[in-house]
Amino acid sequence: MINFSRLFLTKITFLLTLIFLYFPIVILVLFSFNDSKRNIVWKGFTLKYYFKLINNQDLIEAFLNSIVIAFMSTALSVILAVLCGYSLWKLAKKKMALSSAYEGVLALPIVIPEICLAIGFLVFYQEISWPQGLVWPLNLMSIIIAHVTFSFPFATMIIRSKLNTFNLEIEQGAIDLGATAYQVFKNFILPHLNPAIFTAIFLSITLSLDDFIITFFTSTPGVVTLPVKIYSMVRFSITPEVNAASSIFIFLTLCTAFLGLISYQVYKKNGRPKS
Amino acid sequence: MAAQNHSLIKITNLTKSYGPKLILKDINLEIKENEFFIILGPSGCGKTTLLRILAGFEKCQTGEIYLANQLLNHIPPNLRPLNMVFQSYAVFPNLTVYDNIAYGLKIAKTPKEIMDEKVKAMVDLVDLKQQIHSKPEQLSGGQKQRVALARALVMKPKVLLLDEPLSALDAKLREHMQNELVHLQKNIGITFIMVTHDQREALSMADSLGVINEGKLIQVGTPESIYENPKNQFVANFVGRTNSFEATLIEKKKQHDVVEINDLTRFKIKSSGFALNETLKIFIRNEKIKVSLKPPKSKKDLVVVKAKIILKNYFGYQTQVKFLAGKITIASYLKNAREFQENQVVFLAWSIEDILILK
Repeated sequence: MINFSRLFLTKITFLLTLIFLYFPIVILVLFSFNDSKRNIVWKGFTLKYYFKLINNQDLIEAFLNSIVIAFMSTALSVILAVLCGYSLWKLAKKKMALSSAYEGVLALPIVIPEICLAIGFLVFYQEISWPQGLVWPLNLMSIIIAHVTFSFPFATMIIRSKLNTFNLEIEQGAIDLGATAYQVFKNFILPHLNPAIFTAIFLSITLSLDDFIITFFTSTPGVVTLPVKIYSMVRFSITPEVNAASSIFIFLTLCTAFLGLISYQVYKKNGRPKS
Repeated sequence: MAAQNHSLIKITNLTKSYGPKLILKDINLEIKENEFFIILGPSGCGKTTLLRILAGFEKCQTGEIYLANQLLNHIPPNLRPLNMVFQSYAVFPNLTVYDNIAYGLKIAKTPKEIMDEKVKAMVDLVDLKQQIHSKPEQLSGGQKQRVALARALVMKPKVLLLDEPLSALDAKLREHMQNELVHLQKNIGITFIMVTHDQREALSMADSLGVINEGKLIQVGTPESIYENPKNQFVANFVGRTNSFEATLIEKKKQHDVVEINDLTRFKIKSSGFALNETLKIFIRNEKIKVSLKPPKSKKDLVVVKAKIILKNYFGYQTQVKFLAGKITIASYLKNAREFQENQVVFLAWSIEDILILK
């Protein structure tokens, strides 16, 4: 009896947690299919707001911008993170003074309030008079740079902590057999880091896709990303069209996460070292 | 072999410290070609550091290392003609057995056919034919060990360094690998330098061994010379199992001196360099003590002590027996201890010749 009731409570807790976490999202997605202009009562099922979205040129443009920004900033931030994580690891290994201070400084953007960072960027771009009205996709550069600054610390932390599990004797074994530092990095450290790089890539993409505040402050006139576009749509009224755009956005983020998971599983199956 | 007495490695006045902590103090050592040399010492004595200095992973503050008259100090580890087998084996987890063994040859840009030939010969030598395409995660500890060995040996190093290579193996495999390593070393004729804290392993495997304690090289010699004539108390206690007693030189005569094991017994020794009333330490190897129910017929050249058995520890192939003689505990190992019981009074006898006396 006691066992049963305990299990019952656990199930209830689990259910409540699920509702708490996902109820708003479920409502959002459901109402994107609502056949009503004013999104308050359910009037019937329709896909017309999705078709409306497809024909909305501005939205397509925002969507493309978001994708380009996500991929560009991810590429930059993960490359930087691998180099930086490796350097930090080497510094820590040699017991260099201040090596833990460096790591702290790198993690700082994670704790700085996003709005402060955003304003910082705004002022910075104004001060150096960042060129405006460049051709696509160069006009996205200001956003890409800003996105790198907030995704790169996360990526570095992932890479850096993965390096802690690297057996130093592997490195020395390779050096002992004649390998140079570059060969050790290419042949053993990079393969060891692969799962962490996957994680860093998908985290950076999601962070970049999601970002609103920093993007809002760093975009040059005329540049709009998906979250910014959705925000501007909300300012007029919450129509099912906004819901539809949000639903697509959620779907996109989920796809990224799912893709990451799948590719990691495939990668692990191919006989690569377990993480 | 012809070049037996040629000294291959020469270490002079080597000192190493980490900050204020001195790890190795003024090490001077010569290691001959084709020798199986073992560096023996308790953990934390600096023996692994010495090996890592030879491999080039650590720098020494003073002193020189020569390999066949070539100064090694400033040669980076990847260019030294020495290879190492690591304690954790450090088998490359992302490469197959074949690629692990071929790694050094690939780095050296060996032509593919020659590389293939060499790797296959090495795989045969260490008996890994079945596992040649396996990943390290599929291998047992002993097999990983052999990959690590093959990977180093395929480079034909002048010296192979082994850092406690057997410490992670279980007892049976360990014994097997001990024989295998000695056999291998004799077969291929490469100088092996191995580090271990296991004195039995060291005695059974080495052609010659060096005992290190607290960063100092205390004694170098053949296993026999170190076992029979330890230079000081540390070596006597660390190598082999030994009883030690406090003693005093109580008489000094023309032909002989008399030594007293405090509160127990006294015996004559040949005239020694010790002074009258000097405090001494007496060592007698456990296995040199004979146990009998009756006192031996002749006491000539023997030390005989009456004692009570206080403990019997059965190990199968031998039995450890502990005795109490006066206030002193004495230990011995007997092949057959069936006739003895705990609390029985017996006679212990050992030959004066087998006694080692140190200041």
